[in-house]
Amino acid sequence: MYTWLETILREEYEQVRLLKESPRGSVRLVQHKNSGKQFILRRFTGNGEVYQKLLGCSCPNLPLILEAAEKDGENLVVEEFIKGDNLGFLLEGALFTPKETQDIVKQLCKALWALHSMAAVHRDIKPENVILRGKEAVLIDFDAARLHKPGAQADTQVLGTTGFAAPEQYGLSQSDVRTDIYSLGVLINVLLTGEHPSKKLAGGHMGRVVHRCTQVNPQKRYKDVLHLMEAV
Amino acid sequence: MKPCPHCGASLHEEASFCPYCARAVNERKAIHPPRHMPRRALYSALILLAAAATVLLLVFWFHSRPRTYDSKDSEVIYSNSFRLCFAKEDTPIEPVPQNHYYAELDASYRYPVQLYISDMENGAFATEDFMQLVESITAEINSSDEYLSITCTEPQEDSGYYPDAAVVIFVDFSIVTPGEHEAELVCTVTMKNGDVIRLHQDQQYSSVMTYRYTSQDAPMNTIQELQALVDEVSATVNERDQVYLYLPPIVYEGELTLRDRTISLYGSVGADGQRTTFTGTVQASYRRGVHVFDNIYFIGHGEGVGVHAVDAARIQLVNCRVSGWETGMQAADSTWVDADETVFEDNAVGLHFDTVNAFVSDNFYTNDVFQNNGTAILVESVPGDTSLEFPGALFKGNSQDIDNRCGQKLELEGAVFK
Repeated sequence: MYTWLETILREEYEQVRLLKESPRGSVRLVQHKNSGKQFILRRFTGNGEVYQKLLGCSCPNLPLILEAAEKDGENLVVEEFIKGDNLGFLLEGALFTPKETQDIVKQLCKALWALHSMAAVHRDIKPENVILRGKEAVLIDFDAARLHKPGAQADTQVLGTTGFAAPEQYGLSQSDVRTDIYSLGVLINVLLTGEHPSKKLAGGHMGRVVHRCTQVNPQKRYKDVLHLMEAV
Repeated sequence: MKPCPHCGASLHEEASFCPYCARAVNERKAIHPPRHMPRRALYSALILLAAAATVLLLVFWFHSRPRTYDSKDSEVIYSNSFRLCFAKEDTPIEPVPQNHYYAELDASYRYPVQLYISDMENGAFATEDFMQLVESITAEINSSDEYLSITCTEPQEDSGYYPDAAVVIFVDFSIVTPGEHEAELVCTVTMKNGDVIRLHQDQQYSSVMTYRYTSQDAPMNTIQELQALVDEVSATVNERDQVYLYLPPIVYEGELTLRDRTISLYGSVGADGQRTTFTGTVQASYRRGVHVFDNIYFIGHGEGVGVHAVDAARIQLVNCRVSGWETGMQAADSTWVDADETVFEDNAVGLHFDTVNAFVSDNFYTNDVFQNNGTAILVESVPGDTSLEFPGALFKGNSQDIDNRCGQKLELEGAVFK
């Protein structure tokens, strides 16, 4: 499957540009030669089982994963190209209002609900991984995502973005859905204040939401994204 | 390999996407979070739910707890399904809140009170269905009238007198002073589910006058004079009052009919041993009260009926002799007859019961003598399971002592057969 897909992609598609490259892999924007349709082509080393799971589902706040193939730990993923600006880019212009933040967070909660419902944890929620497509917030990049396995004591690898990653992602305990809630709390604070909550906590109700999201003890955070969505 | 459903290109068996035409080839399931109720709304809903549950529990408790149905009247609607009322047999759907009887002083009386039960939907009698739900039925009399002696029996099912009635309660009373007297009958029905139903009925009694006539008060030396006296008394004396005729020791040739009121006849014995005697039929038809014939001979000539109760009359013989008749004494229609200390002899049939739906005034035939009759007692029809009891009776020389055609219960333990 991997070889078959790689061969055809090489024949039928052309690279538009390289979006990201790291020791773990690369992300490219590619275009179907015949139709001109554009897609994201990911290559990375590691666990691609979350992409396999996403093949069978759709959520307006997640990119469609069109194909995922794995061979000897190498992953090849074709996914929908989301046209729009990521929140990291937009934050360079201005902070978001509480209302805008609420709208975005609610949609991210929907995206996370889809992931969490298949026992997956995103583990890398940050402004650069959220794209605004019109008024629609889309959560991208599942390279750090993994399936939550009840009973495992601690994550075997330290993944995630510094500052947004929850304490347990550094080996305190295994990541679960509350890991993403921690990151989402940090994201809310950054959208409203531009700062990590440890430096400047947002005021008002949203500040209290952030405070609860970012509790060190996962059990003191919101139980799941539905509760967070309700609180927001 | 498999073909692409869009372009027909050959695809890998596990392919979800056709890289040739750049279209998805697999099915996807849309994932949406469940509708999550806001916490405040949730709390409100929970409170409402708890309130609704409480209300429902209260309603359930209210409707399922044992209830008492007491209208303080002679009619009760039970559970919108059954209607219970004290009523009379000819109008069983018409509640009778009060009974009013006239009574002589110091005399004992008994009368029935019937309880009828009907279906609320169709009005039909529903005794059978209702009684399946009943645990017990009791009755009691409440009275603070010290000059009224009154008791009641326990309610009796299937009394036989009133086939449509669920139960019948017999009230026994006597009054000892003139005037008005009252009491209350309370019937309590306890249902198997704990419900209690109470019906009430007022009992009122008025004392009546007693008139006694002797041959010195009015001519009564012939059957014609006696009949004329009876007719005059019937026309002039209030029917509630009591009339006793004390007859001279003579033989009345001919028939006497008592039709418009209750009159009691008391015979006598002359110095020559002559006793008041009727040679023709004495017939009574008036339904209210009991005609008492005391110390009288009824002597026939082989035909007819000596003492004949018709319509709904009740006759009681005391210390009489009935002989020489085709039928000595007969209870027909809705009548009743009783005899104590009386001799029935030389009759084709001494005592004949052929009565339906009668109110039994007395079922003890004490110390009677039945001798030399064709059939001493013929029982063709008696209402219900009334037991005919013959304490101290003597049966002697009869062709047949008892012809119990309807299989009526008889109590003969104290009787002597020779």
